[in-house]
Amino acid sequence: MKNCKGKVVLVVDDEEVLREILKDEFERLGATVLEAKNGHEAFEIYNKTKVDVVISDIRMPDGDGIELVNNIRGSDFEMPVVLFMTGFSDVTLDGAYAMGVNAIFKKPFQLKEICKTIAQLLVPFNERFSVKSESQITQHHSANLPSIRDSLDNGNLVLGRGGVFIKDGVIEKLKLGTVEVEITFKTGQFLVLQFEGMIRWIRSIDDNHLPAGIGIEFVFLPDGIRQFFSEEIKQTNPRAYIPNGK
Amino acid sequence: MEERLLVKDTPVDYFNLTSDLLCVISHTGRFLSVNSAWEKKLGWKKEDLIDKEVQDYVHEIDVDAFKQFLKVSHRQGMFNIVIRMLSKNNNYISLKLECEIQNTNFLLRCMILNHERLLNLQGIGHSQQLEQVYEGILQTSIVAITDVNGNITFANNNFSKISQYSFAELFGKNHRILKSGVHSDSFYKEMWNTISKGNFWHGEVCNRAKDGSLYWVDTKILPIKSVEGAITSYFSIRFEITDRKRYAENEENQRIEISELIQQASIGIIKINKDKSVPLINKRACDILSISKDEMNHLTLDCLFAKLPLGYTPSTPAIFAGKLPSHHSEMTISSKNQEFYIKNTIFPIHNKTGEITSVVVLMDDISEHRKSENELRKRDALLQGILDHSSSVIYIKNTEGKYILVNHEFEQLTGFAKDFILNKTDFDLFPERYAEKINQNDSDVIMIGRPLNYEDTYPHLEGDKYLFSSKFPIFDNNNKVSGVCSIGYNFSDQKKLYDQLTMMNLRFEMALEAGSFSIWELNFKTQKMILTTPCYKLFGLEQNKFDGSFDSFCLRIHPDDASEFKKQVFNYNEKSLLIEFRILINDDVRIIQSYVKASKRGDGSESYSVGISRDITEVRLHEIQFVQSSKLSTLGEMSAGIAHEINNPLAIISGKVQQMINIIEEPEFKRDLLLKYAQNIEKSSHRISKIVNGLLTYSRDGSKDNFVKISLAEIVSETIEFCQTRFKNHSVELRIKEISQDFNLECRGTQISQVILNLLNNAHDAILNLKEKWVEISVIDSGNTYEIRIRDSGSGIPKSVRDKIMQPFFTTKEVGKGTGLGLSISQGIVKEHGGKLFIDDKDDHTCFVIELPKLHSTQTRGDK
Repeated sequence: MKNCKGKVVLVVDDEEVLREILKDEFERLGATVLEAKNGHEAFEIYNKTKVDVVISDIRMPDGDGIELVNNIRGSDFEMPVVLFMTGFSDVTLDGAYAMGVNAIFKKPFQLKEICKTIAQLLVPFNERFSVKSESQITQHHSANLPSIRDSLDNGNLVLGRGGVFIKDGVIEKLKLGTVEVEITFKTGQFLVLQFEGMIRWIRSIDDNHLPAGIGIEFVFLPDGIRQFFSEEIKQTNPRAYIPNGK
Repeated sequence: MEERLLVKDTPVDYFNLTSDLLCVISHTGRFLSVNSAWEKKLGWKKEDLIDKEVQDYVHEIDVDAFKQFLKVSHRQGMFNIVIRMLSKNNNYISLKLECEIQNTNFLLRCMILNHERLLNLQGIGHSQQLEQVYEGILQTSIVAITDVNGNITFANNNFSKISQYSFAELFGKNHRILKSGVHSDSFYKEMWNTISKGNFWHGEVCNRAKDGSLYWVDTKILPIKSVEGAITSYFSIRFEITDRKRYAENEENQRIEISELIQQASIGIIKINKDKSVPLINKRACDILSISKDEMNHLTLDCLFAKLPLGYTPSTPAIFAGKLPSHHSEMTISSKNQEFYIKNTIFPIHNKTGEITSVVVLMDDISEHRKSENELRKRDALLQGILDHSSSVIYIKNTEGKYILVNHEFEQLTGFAKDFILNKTDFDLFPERYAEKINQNDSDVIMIGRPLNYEDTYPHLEGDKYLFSSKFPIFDNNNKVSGVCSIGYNFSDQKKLYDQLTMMNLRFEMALEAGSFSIWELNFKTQKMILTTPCYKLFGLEQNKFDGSFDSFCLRIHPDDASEFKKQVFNYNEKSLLIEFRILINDDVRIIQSYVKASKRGDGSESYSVGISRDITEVRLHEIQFVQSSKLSTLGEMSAGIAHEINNPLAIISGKVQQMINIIEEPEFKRDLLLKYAQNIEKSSHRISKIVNGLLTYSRDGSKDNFVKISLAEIVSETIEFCQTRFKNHSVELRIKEISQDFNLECRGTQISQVILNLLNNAHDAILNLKEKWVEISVIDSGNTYEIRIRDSGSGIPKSVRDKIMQPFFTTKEVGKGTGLGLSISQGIVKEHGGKLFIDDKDDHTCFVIELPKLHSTQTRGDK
């Protein structure tokens, strides 16, 4: 929460009262809040002013949230963007993460959750996934792959800026929520990849040219792996926060 | 003993020496003894004759006379007779018998009469040759000798044969017994004059035989004289000429008859000799040529020619010159006040050397014949004219099956010319299978001998021709069938039509069956109906129980719809109607749609209507389902917005509550802020409530709702609440003109809301791609009605589309974007409200108008 202090938050919503609520909250946390009532207005502000994080509704007259994300990601893959989405959206959840949305919230929302997430997003990658979660992790996912290099190259693992896509595996019993992942490699730099994450979506069968698999947002990464992924992201420069396959 | 007897009575030397034939005959008629003269004269030896019956040697003609002679001699003694007796060389020799009775026996002295005496009488010496000539004459001719008084002393066999008298009967009789009466006394006188003077007489004489019949003989009489020159007897030789006489008589009769015939003949006959004389001209010829009796007697050829008509060249000279054989010619002769048409037959007559000696002209008056011929010709022409101008196909055939008369139609039918057809049979003209049938039909009529009707088939290039033929036999004068006449009606075109019609009907019926078309036809006058099989089924009628009346049919129709149905069906204006009504089949209500067209039959005498019906119950059910599902799809399309719309106020409520909690936790009590937040929450709750109500309004079927008074402003605002997000999202400006709170409409609110929503959505979709995007909704009070006007920035609807726009499933939207049901359903709803849904074509922009009566009751009262 302290991370918000001094940061510039751009709130985009056509509902004035909602903007007001968010503005009050972030200002309380010491952030500067800029308001826009639609996507076009928001993108203008984004272009003119330094913004640290964007919070946007998805449906708005004159430039919706999707358009805004695409506009921002046209030049900036790192700017944290938080999107309000409903189940009946033009964009699917995995699609939204893949296009670079960092966090998705439903209305109505918990202000504290939003603030906590945005505070997290404002921390650089290296430092962000360094603390183990305090809550109990109820599910475990394990897989056997040849090597981490091969897996990243052939799409068994696809790395995004805040998560990973794991292809196939035994995913039938998995649910959305926190998970402990343990991947065993036969050879290579790492013989074991072990981390805590949050399953954001599950694709149980191949769909629309996309392979079955799960989208996991990182929660905690061991130091070595975190370092490795950090280097990897610098090299591949992915747009996706959590990739939806390759 | 006989010898002894003879010796006793007659000197033996005389008996044997005399040249007379002597014999003794027993009373039983047997030879007892004969002298040697028998052998000398007749060639018989004693032993040939002794003990033989004498009569066996007498000529059969003379047998009776001989017997009589013996009888008479026995009673009276001394008598003589001439008989013929057979000689050894089979000749009969005439003997004069003298008889003497000696005891019971007869002594016969037989004197040879004939040649011996004859030769003696003529003084001709006895010679063998003469005897033979005499024998020949006796054999071949009728020979008789009379004495000077004409008494017959000798007659040969031929004489007896022709006169039927035996010599015994003739002997001593005068020749007059044969007199026929044919000749006059002078005839006989002349004959006697001639012969009594010792002259030879030759003539043809008719005599009468014993049975009275006449016979003619060529008679030559030669008087026989003694040495002194006195006539002693007459020798006559005759030949029968009866046949020749009769023939000559016939000839003569015939000649007279022919001459008479010629004179009386009904044809004129003229004979012209080469010397230009006219030896024969009959009465008829004179009549024809107007020749008087005077002229007739000294007629010449030139005179004859003068009588001939002008311009007629007589051919007689040419015939005489041998340049012209027998020939015919015709001429017209005008005489007095009569005109003859004459047919001349002219032929030459040749003599034995082949020279033409005369010419005969036969003049046949053919005036009557010509007249009747002309009449006949006229009648024939008339008949042929009638036949040829008859539209019937007519022909006559003889019993051999040959055509003897055909008319023009028959030529047309067969494609043959009359001259080609005549005298030919069907087999000559047509392929066998046709000929056989036609010929058979005609033969039947000839055989049965009475009229019969047939269907004949004739081959033709354009396809077979069909004839309905009445055939009847034709009788000759003897009442025998001489042919058959056929009068046929060519119904090929009709048959073709009929066949086509049958085929079409079949196809039509098949189509109807296949398509399950239910068609009924109602005759306005009789009120009777004709139904197709599927139609019976559709209306739940049983084909054998339905009486066909319109009233019975109407019993099937739902009572509420029956009067309207009748009104529509009888509404005669030749325009097709699409009517919809309900029918009741065993309490099951079906919705029927009929396409009805009233019309008049060809001559306009009868009006009727035809209806094609179909059961649209399922369609209607589907439509209802479809409306629901289309609503759902629109609902799906809109649910995102709805969710968003609900989530926003929820997020506000939730957010404000969280803020309020924060405020409460803060030491400083910010009462104004809390109040403001609470008001926000209250407001957001109402928003949610409205959306939910709108959703309900849209999703539920309001068609069974009661009509209630509702504020129009409320309906509009609720509807707008429901769709405004969609407009907002697509940057379509929604202009809402203020609606008075006093506008109250008696309606099914849900349905009206659906209509408004549908129109708003349509407007939204229509202008989405335009630069200027707005939709305006306003309500105008126009007395009894309200007009809800929904305008948009579009520039009107093309006329071509406008007519169809209210039809079900019509859509201008791209595939997947619209069902095309919206407007038609809206139209239906508005109609149910007694209102109108139309496009205001006076507006520059697209403007749909919903016109609704303020009170439902007023419209129902006014309409029903």
